[in-house]
Amino acid sequence: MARILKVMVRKGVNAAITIFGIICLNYALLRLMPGDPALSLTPRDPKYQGLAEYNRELFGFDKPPWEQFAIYLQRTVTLDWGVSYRLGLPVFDVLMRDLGWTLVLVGTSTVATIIIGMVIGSIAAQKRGKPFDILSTATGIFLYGMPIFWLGFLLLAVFEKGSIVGHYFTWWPALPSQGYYDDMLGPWSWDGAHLTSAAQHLILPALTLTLGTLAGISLVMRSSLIDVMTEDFVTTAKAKGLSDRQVLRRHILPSGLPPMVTLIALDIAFVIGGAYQVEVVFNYYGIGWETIQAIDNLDFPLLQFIIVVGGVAIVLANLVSDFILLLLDPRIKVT
Amino acid sequence: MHAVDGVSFDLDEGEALGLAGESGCGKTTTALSLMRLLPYNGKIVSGSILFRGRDLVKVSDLRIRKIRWKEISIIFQGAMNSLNPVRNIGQQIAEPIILHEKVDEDEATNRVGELLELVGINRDRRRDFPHEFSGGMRQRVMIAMALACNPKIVIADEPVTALDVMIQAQILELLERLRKELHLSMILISHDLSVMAETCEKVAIMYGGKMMEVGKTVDVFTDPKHPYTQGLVAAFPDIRGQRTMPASIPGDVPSLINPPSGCVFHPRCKFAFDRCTAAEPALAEVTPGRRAACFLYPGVPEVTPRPMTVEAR
Repeated sequence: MARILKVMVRKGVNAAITIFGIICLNYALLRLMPGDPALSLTPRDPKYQGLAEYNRELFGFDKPPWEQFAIYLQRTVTLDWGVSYRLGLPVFDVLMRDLGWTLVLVGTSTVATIIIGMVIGSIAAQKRGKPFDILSTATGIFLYGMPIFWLGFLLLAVFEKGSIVGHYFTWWPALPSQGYYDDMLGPWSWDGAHLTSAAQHLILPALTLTLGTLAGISLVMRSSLIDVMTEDFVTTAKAKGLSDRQVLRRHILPSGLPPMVTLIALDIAFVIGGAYQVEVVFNYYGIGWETIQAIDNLDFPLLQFIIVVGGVAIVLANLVSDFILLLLDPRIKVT
Repeated sequence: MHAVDGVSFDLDEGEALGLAGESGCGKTTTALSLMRLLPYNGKIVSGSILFRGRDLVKVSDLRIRKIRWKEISIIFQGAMNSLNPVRNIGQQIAEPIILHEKVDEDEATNRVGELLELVGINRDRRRDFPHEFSGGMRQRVMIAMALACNPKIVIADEPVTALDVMIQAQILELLERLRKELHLSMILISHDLSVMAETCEKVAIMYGGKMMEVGKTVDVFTDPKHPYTQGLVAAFPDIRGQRTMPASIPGDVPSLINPPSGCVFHPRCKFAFDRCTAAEPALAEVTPGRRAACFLYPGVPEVTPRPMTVEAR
């Protein structure tokens, strides 16, 4: 345990430094972007020119860059992330709201992807070269290679309410797709109608994401298991008289899982970043959708903290995966 | 492709048989076939493996799983890769014991301790992982593991390759001692003839997936009958003699994908004559107790495609 603690402290310090780096770089990056936010907040008509100056002062763009940076740092730490130019709402509140819905969408599909992908991958590895393997690999690559927005459009065309197929067959699913839930229900509350509607609205975007990213998990799972299967210790395990199932559970999976841990951790980190394409196609107002809006509107305060939150998520996910790997693989040494 | 063909030998209780030959001549494939452990792209096409009156080629998968390790166990070549890197050695040695014998965990742990001591490793190290041992120690762990269920036959597939000479001697001595003590039958696979000479009563020489000569070790090495065996023995340096380069056999091991016609050894054989290219010699008795596959000896028949047979009594 001392070994694990020691590594974790060191990795934790590294992660903290990385996060600070992200915060600094993020500041620099957005200031280097072309465009003047004060101007973009001002109507083009020359008679509003005074307003641009007013905005510049209001948001502090007239202060020297180092002072702006100091204010930025202080407010980042105190979670006072400013006000979104576009929405006029505190950035922190906007992000938390979007994050919630993004977690629902991308979280559902990521969990589904991981479970289904690992199952398909391990069956394919065991049946290498057999029809199941060939079919699942080909289908996986086909879906993975397809642009995900295109896959989304296809699913919309076939399964959305009012689709051409539904026109001919009344039993055909007619799924809603715009927004989190049916707007006619009014503001969100935890009742049956809202929950049902939200679940229905979730199906198409979550299906799109799952189908489009499934191969990422299943193919890595398949190849990492096949790698392990050809190892000598698997022959030893078979020679001991273990059944194929026991060999898989006791020897192949424990050695084949480490590469999956890193992959899954990163997948989970990207959940926080949202799924830009799918959220836009289905008008699912999560972090991804908000990011696109923020870019379009040069909404600096919102954009910069979307980036920070995404970056921090990846650093933390790496930290967690390092920790799990440390538990799984005794060969990882303290250096 | 026939990786191994026309292999035939028998092994008595308590006896050690050496399987010798150049790299890629089918020694390991023969060993894996004995336990029906060929990789997914290989299979036994024909032949029989008789173990205590039962044909291992024909028994059910469940049956063979019960025979594996309990009756026949194997020590693999690279002990680093043959031990699971993410499980400690105690778990790995206990695994077959728990699988094959109705014992509880304490009993198994106790057995693991005894086995480790048998091969000269402190029993407290059972919680250590393979990477925490040296090459020689790992090979000892592998040996302890092979003996876990008191098997009748132990196959040792190049047990000392990749170890330095001192450790080689230690491991061989250990194997020899354990074999005598536990009255094991052993099949020792090696390309090192001196290893064979020291440990095996009988030796079988393989070449190109076929068996060239089988007989008592002393006889085979002092009076080799097959030209290939003669070449092998001549290639062996005599440390007491003059310092000269040992004689080598010119040419390379044949490709098994496209094997030569007739006798597999004829392209490299200095005694080859026209019959050797036309037909393949069968393994047949040339002097009492000695079999060789060579037309130089009268009465050696030609091969009709023949099954692989291994017998153990």
